[in-house]
Amino acid sequence: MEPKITLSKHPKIDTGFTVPEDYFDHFPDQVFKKIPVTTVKVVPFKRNNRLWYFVAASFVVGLTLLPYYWWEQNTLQEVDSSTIENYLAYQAMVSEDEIVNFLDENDLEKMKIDLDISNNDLEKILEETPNIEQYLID
Amino acid sequence: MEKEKDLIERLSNPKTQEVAFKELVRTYQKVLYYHIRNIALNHDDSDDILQNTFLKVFEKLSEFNGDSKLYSWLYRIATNEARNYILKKARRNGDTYENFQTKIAGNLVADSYFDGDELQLKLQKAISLLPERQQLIFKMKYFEELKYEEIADILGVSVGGLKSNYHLAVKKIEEFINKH
Repeated sequence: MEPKITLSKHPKIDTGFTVPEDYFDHFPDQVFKKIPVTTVKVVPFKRNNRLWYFVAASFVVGLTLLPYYWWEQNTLQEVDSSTIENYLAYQAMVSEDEIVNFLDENDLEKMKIDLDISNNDLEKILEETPNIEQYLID
Repeated sequence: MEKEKDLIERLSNPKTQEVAFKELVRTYQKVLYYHIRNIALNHDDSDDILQNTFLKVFEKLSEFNGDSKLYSWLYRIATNEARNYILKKARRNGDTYENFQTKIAGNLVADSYFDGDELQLKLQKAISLLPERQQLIFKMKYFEELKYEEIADILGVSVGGLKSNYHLAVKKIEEFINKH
């Protein structure tokens, strides 16, 4: 009959497990291969320096020109005197007499109405004007 | 202790972390392998679990705050990885943890990485019949020769509970070996 085994008194019973040859020599590399490598991409500042300067300069120039461009688009184009006169003449609220009040010496110069009016013609026009005295007072 | 403290410091420093981690793997690979192997029983599973363990360790390095000893922390991760791996396999087979372990222990004789004799085989079979927790406590005390305090630290249980579990396990194992 085999003696009873008492674990505390019996020589330690090993597991019986073995490992492949050189397992522990190669194991670390197996793990290191699987470690996620986080590399920070280093972008040399010098290489892109010129590019960034160009971008920055373009931006500044663009910002500067934009208001000027907008202003130019929205500025009223100078309209010639005849157009203004005709426009005003068609406005029912404005009489031709009132139009005359808006014209100055420069405007009259610009009109350059080439009329050959004799003194007799002029006198006739004045006689036909009902409010001639009022004009003289004004 | 100083050595461990120094390693922890180097593991916490991003500049020295990679080199320190390689040192950690080389230092603890054997002891963690055999701990895992005691749970998983076969080499291929143990190899997978050990790799997973170190990958998890690397992942969780920033979480290790030095509250527990480094080896306790490593053992804890290894134990959880091994246990979860075996549980998953057992469930896939529609088995309980213990039933699955008993089947694996029964297949050890055909395992190319087991060269144990009849007594060693009987011992593995006897252990596989124990409840999961008792199996672990017995293996850590008997095979790995850890102190009760170390096991208590790793498993988060009381020393008193460990002692009674171990003595119960020993009794059951002796009964099985002496009967078969």
